[in-house]
Amino acid sequence: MSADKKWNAGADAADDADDDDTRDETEYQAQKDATLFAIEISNSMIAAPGDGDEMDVDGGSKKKKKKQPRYSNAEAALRCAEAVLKNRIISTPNDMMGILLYGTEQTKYAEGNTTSYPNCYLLMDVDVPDAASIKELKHLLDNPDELEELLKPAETPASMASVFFAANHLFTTKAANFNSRRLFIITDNDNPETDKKARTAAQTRAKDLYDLGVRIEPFFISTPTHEFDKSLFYADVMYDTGEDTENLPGSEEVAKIADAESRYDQMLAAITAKQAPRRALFTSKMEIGKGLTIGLKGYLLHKRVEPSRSHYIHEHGEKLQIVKGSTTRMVEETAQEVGQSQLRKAYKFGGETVSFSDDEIRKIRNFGDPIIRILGFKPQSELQFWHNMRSSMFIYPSEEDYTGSTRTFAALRTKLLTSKLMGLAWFIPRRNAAPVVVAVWPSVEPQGLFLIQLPFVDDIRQNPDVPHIVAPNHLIDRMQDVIRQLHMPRGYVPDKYPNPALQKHYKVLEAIALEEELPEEFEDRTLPKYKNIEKHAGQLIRDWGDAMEQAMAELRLSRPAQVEIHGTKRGREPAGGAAKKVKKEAEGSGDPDKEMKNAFNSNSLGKMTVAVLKDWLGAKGMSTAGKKADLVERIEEHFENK
Amino acid sequence: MADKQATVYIIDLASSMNQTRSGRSESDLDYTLKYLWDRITTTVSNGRKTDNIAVVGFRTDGSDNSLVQSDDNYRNISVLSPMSQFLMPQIRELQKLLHLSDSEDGDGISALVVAIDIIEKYCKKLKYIRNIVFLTNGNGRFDFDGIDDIVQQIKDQGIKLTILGVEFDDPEFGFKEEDKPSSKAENESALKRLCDDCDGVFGTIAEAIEEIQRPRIKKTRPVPSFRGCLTIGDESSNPGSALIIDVERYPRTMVAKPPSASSFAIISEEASNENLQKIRNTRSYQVEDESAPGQSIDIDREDMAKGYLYGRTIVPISAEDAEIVKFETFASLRIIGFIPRSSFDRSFSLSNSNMIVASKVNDKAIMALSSFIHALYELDSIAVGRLVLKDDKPPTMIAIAPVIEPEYECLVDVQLPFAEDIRQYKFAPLDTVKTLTGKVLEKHRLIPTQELQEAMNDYIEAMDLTNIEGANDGSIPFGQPDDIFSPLLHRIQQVIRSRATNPDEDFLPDINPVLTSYSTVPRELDPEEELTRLRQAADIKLIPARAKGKKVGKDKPLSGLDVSKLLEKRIKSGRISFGNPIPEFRQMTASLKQKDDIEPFVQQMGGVIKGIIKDSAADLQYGRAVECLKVLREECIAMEVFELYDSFIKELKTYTEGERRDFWSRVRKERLGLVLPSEDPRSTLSTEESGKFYYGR
Repeated sequence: MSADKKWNAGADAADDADDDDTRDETEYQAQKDATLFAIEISNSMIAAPGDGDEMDVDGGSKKKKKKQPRYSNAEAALRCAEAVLKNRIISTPNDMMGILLYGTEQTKYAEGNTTSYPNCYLLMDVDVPDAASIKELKHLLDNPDELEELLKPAETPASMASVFFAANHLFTTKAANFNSRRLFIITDNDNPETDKKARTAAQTRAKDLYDLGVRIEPFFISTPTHEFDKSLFYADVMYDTGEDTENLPGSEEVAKIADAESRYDQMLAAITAKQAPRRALFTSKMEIGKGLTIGLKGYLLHKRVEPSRSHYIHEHGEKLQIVKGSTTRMVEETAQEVGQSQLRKAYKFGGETVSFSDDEIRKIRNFGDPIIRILGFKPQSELQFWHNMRSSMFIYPSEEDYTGSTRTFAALRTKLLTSKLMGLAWFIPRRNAAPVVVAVWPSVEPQGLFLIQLPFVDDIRQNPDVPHIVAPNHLIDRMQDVIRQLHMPRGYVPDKYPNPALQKHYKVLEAIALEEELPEEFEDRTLPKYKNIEKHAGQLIRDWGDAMEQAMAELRLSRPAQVEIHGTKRGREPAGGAAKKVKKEAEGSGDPDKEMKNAFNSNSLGKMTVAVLKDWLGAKGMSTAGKKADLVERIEEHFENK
Repeated sequence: MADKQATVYIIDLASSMNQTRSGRSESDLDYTLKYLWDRITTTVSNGRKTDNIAVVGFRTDGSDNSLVQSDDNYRNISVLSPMSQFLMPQIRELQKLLHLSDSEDGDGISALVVAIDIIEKYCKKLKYIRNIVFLTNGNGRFDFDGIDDIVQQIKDQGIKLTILGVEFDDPEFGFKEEDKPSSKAENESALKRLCDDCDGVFGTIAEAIEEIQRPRIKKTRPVPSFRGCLTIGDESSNPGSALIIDVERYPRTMVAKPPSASSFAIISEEASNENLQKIRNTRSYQVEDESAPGQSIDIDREDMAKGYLYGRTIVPISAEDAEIVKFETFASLRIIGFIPRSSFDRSFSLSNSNMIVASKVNDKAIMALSSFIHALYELDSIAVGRLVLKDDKPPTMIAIAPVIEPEYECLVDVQLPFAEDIRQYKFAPLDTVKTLTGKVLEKHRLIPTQELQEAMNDYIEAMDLTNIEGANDGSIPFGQPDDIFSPLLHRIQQVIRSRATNPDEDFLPDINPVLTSYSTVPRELDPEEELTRLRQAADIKLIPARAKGKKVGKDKPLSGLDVSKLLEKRIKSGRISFGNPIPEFRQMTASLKQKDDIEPFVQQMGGVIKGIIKDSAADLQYGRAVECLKVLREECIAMEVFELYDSFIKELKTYTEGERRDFWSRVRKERLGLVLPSEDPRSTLSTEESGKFYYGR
């Protein structure tokens, strides 16, 4: 199903469209992906690193390069699979993954079905990963003997037809209706089937995969002595799926210089790059001018990943289960149950309600068909730094609906980039979504355009009052000295800053799930590099501090009265002071959050007074309307969903 | 801002308000009421108890005010609504009373005195914002005797008087009524003098009505999201060389959400407002249990614990563990380093923006922050910081930029992505095309020709917005956020107010054009010539919907191998196997010479689907069956033989009755029922019929 259809289907839920951000995310999650790693096992794939590896000779002379364990191709591939697996648990927890080894001496397949797929070893069935299978994989990688036993190649290699058919079977039975199904093939063998009949069979099975919507993503390993030649076999089994992939930088060129030390890194980089399937957020069109419309798709390239939410669980007959919560709606007065069809949305107004039929609500929300309509162009400098509401969306042309879209889009982008311009556009992301005005911003890499949502006048908050005191030039100069010393030459590189709260959350979960030791030390890479700051700017900060004292003295002289007034106020620790502030520790249960949580956990929310409940709800920005039971319920719901 | 308010509206209800003048279709009264209702409903929608309203009518048929008993001058003046918070009952009551009288008697100035009296009695000496809004068409009697005392009273009480008249002359607004009756002219100038004497506002109602077209912006009091220290360096390890500034952080932008609707239940047949019943929600908790009826059992709250999912493994987290999971932090804003503004990637801005100002009671902090702001500004740099809003909240990375306005300076920040927040999607470059063999092309149908590029350049230059005036306020440039109103927010408010005052009508007012003024290209820009040239150079072709049903990809592998040859044997067999139905069905239909030949394959596919359902242990294989059904439906529509699908799905509905009823709910969820006219125009299926097919038995 195309992304476009999905949006239309969502039109019924018009009133849920209020929160576009959450909707984006649900839609994104709904586009599920299943990935099957197929790793070839052969003598060359399991060859110990170094064999025939010319690079190895001067490997020792490289000074103090981080000592990397060296893996055979097959082991490196398995380790990549493990890394991807763990990564996906965080980033896309609903996605499925599986690992299939082919060419092994052993044969193993789901449901004891071994005859159909000889020399295929299903190491991990296609499914949402669980702790047991990760543990198994880890165990295998930690035990070289077992690994060697498993990776023993068969006398005769597995037929590619059975590999493809196995993938076909796994995807149809385990991952039915997934929008994205991909087969990652990791191999160094560019000509697996030389026999004509076997070749034909493989080609047929590959066509089946294509008709099933399964994409083959190959990771070919070349060695310095042998360049992988995909025209020998793989060009007959891979298809252009109509996306812009025909024009994509080839993923297949993995590890061309496969020196043993960086092989794993290179492979991991190539696989990680392909790890997340590209999921479009919407399919839409852009009206560049009257009668000039092109097709495009929208994507979210940056999106905050939050730790997974907690669930209620229950041990039911030996087995842990996720508890499902369900809400029953009842008429307050009569406790009569209310069905979906009896619901009507109403707005509060003047102490009563004002209601509209669903049809009317649709009409009210309808500002026309989804569109990105260009209104004109402006210099990029007119977009203020603070003109921002949420993550921007990336748009990229699509030839699906309008041929010629790509070249026109490219011309538009080129002009915006070279003349430092941006477009201004009226943007309705999908049917019945709230219209917004966006800046159309050219992107250097990846090549495309970003849509940056501008604030409406309603969204702009007032400035808080602060007395206007401008620092004297000599003080500004000292601050400039500090800033110059602390410049980060490479700009902000997100890769260098993993989210510490997220990492910790999953590290702990992983340790508990896999029954491992909890990590004692936890590295937080987002903290400032204090040693460097002290080294480069310590003296300059002290100089600034001196200048600060001088400036304050000057200020007092120039306007003593005013300083007096501020000075008498209950002052906080003045700036520049080095006195350590003692963190106020909430004594016992002084923290209303904790108190509320405790009451919730002990199921004693009902014992609290209405005033306390209301205060707390109000502070959380939640409604304080209704009777006590409603308040309690609202708080319960809040903690449940936390 | 949260000051208490008392406002009295005085409205002229004389029979002469019936007139229509100056080419208006509405009567003077209706015209005036438009303004009055807008003002009243705006106040109501704010929902503040401290915003009180009274309405006084004059030249009413009867008299109803507290002064008339002692003085005949106050006849034909009625207090229509006493001073109170306006809610729906007041609105309804007032609606009944606001109509033309049969009278021309009654003195406008006396009505003003009544209004002053109301305010005096209500507000006493308390702190109130006091307003009187006087609405008239300026005809009839105005007795200006003793006006000086009245002016003095207005001034003493601090009342803000606004007089708005129908077709009053207003040179500033640019309105002058031709052939104005002399009595009206006299009244007008006397009322103007009255206004001037008590520093009131005098104007023509047309201007006021124009003004109410501009949506009002609700102000929100700034509430800090963070109070703490901005630091450079570590005070604990390097005391003396750590820079610490007391700061506060406030939202700079924040989505102003439209009012949200709540759910009510309609109990009786008639869906009027009175029949809406409040709803209360009760939560209950279940787990699956195959042996239980309904396959699930209810669980008590006490029997539940907390846990997380790791993949599909459930990880219980006990209360003690919860402490370990927590990432301990302290509220702080620590500077990591600085980057040149030019290297800042605009697309990294992930959030609304916030402003950071120095603690306002701390001059030293204000000056310290000022040096930081100016230094950043002069070096054209952006600071990168790590912000923790409150103890134990997760940190976020933020980019911090300086803002220097006349008489105001601050920092503004937006959130930056962490490593995990970057989605690694790959996109092909737009300026080159790489062929299969790895050759890089610079000429290709996907790459703009020089002609197209030039046409685009010219068009973009012709569409320059730099000197275009704002669509709503000509004094600010086009496209400034200050000039753009949130369309949905104000639209919903508009219809709520309209419905509240016209509850019985199924009527939605036209959308206020101010809300959609940014939906189209400004009139000033119309580069027809450049656009025509661009259209020609771009040569965009819409792909007809029917052709789109077919797959977009090429049905040949990258090598161009003729796969149809490979499939010959399979197609000849004409059999769809149970183990590989989807590809085989697709291949069969692709090979068909004429569409009618598809029938046996539809039959076979149907058989496969029923087989899968039949053999499925519980619902394990339903997904597979659904996928087959989806493909079958898709192909039947593409091949223009939707009738075959319709008859099969009817058959399947019967087939799934009984034990496999749960499968039908999947069909319904995926909308795989009868084909709709939107999918094939030959279908005559109505929405009701479709719904009945899904739900009916």
